[in-house]
Amino acid sequence: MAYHTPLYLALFFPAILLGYQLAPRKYRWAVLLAGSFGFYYLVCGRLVLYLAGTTVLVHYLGIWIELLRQKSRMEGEREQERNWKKQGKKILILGIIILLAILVSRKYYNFLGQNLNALLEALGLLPYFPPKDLLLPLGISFYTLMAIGYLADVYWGRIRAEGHMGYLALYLAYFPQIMEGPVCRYSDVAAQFRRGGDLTGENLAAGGIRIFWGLFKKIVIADRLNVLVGELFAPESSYGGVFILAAAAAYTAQLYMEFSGCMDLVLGSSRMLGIVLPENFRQPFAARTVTEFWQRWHITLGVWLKTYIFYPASVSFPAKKWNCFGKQRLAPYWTRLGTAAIALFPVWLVNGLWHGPRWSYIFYGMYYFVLIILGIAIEPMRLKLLKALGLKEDAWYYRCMQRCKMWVIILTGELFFRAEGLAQGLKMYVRMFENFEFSPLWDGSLLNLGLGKGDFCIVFLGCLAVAAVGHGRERGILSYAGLQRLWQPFRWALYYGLILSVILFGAYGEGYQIVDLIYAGF
Amino acid sequence: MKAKRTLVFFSLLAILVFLLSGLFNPAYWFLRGKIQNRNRAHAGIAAEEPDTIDVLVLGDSESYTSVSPLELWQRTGIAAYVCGQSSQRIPETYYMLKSAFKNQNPRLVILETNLLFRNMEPKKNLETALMEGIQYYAPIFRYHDLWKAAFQEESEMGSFYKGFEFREEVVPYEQGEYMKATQKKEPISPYVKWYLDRIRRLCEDRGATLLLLSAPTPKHFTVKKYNAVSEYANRHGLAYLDLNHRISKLGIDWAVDTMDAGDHLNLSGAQKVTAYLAEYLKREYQLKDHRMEEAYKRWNAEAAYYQRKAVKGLETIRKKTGK
Repeated sequence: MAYHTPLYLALFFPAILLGYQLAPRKYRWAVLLAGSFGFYYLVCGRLVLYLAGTTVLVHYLGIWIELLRQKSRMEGEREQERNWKKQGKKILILGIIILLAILVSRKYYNFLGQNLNALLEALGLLPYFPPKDLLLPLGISFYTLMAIGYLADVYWGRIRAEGHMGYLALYLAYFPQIMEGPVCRYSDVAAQFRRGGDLTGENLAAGGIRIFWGLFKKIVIADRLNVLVGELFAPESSYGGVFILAAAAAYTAQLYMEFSGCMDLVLGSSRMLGIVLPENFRQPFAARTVTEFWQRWHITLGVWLKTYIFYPASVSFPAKKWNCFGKQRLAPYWTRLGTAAIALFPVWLVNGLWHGPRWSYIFYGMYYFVLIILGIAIEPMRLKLLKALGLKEDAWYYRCMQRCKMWVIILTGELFFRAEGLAQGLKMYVRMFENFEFSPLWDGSLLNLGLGKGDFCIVFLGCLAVAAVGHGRERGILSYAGLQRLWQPFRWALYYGLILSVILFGAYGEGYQIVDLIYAGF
Repeated sequence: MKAKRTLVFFSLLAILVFLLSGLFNPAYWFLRGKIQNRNRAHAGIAAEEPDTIDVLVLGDSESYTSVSPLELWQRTGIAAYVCGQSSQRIPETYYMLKSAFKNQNPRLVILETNLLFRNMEPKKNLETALMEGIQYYAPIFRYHDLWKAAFQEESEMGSFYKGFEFREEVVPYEQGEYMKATQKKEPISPYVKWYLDRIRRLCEDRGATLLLLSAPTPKHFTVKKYNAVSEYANRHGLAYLDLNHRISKLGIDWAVDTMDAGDHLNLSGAQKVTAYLAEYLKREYQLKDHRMEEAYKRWNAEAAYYQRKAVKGLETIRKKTGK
């Protein structure tokens, strides 16, 4: 029951809205919690026990850390403080180990087993890890990150441990975000869950429009592209040249429309309930550098990695050691570069691995790691070159050049990300440069890939509409508040246009398959 | 004020959806060959002249591979139409019947029983029921991608044979007797029963007789299923014709008459079933012979075309089997 299915949109969500409004304010969180666990059970049945178990574990570990801190404060001595920090850290690490063990046992067991078996065989030993048919609990990658973040925040004293298990359970299981995020921090939503405010016309309208905008991206563009992407990336396919470029572009568009569209559905649903979740996208294709791209694409994952991996890694023992060594023996340039590499390597390794147990995802993470380090390494040279050539960083042509460079980087990354394994990704990448001709783009060859002329027109116009809206947002001239200021008949015409385009041009019903949410698989 | 504005907004939206539903006239597009997916059966019955169909056949693929309306026409002059769809689910059957009743008043509704035992997971059932309801009341949701016709070249509509599908493949069934006696019953799920009751009541309301029909299919049919359908038919006073108990009377030869080892019949098998059905309908129901009527002139033309194709098809089957 994904967010774009009729079951969710026409039955489940309206029932939750109704239940929420009818319930006394004090118990509205309970309606959301029951709805969230009901949603989870409907999607993956008994695997809900994993979520429940994680909730209980995180709840009591959080309270344990909190009690230790309070005890040390009461006793007030420096020694006590140091003791609680040590004990608290042990509890935090215990929690992280248990949470990661659950995640690894369900998500990474076969991948690890397969690679360890290969290693054993290479050493002339018998394989030891038989493959297992493991079901993955819905959203485990998302709620595990949120659970670890919660425990770390409690340990760092950024938040107090939640004494009410119901609120914490709702934080981890909240149905609009359980499938694809965003990866929230407890402080983002705790007060909103407690408030339990009434449904308001403004929230319902703003959320409703956002839901339709998400449906437009998801079922008009992304699901339509799914056929083309499936054909071009099929393991047995032998496309080369410009077809590979088209494959990378089509998949990038599909992934963006699908993931950001899903976020619109998620944020829209939540907004209708009066709960504002953090944004996950901010016009990523307008980015000029790799770092900026990751500040605009899957923002909440980036923030999580920065907060819980980058910062701790920056002050970790190896980083401190390197800094000392660098200060004594190296130029500041090399010291800075080494420190950045030490802090960023785990970030991008986790980023790649988080997406799934595949070498191509690890490659994807490392790809961005190398690009960012390269960016830091050549920064002084770049500045010198700009100065020497008299180029201005803010000049339109320079901005265009940077964006074109980013598009090449993004498309290359997504090509490897989508390919069925690293080997296929490499093959496709090499084949792109064989017999490269642009003519298949207009000689009708693309029409043999499962999409007709009409489909291509809709995809093109749809992308144009999304780009125009993105441009408006980037310039700060388009927002929901801005829409409200428009002349009402014009505003309604826009709304009707959006709703009717979803109904008319959506890739749903006979002849189409419901396409699962891509990020729900991660 | 806000409530009033909201009401106006949604009323206007409903009007727009209604207008668009009218704009996408399925009959018009069906006759131009633009509807080729599972919606073809919906559009096909909508494209028939009003009040011309006497017998409506509903069901999954067993229906349109077993009953040939134009064969029936040639033998009896009874105007029948098969509204079958591959893997039809019972809410689809119900709404198909409701849609058909919009411009037809069949005296007899034949429901092929294979779909009564297609029980999906509850979530899927609920989703199908929901979507079928939405598509019935707002057909734009069913025919929304007809705009693509603007990008397609003009094509001549091939005959749809009143819902029948020509299948000339032959893969013999060799597992022997499949109707092994037992007192046990295959359960019909409450969900299916609920829709079956609705279909039954709808037929009663519209003055149509409901006949349950089990087409020959060794792969799917069992005595357990027969017992379950018989029980339902007896309880509600419905006629039930099980052809799996009449294989020798039908003259079915499993080496020749099935296209996929006993799952579906081919053209040869369908002709034998239809011949038997023709006699049964003549005997049990007083249905009119329309062959000489001016209003059915086109049926005769289509039947002649069907006949030419059927002769060729049977010849192909004969060549394949040597029988």
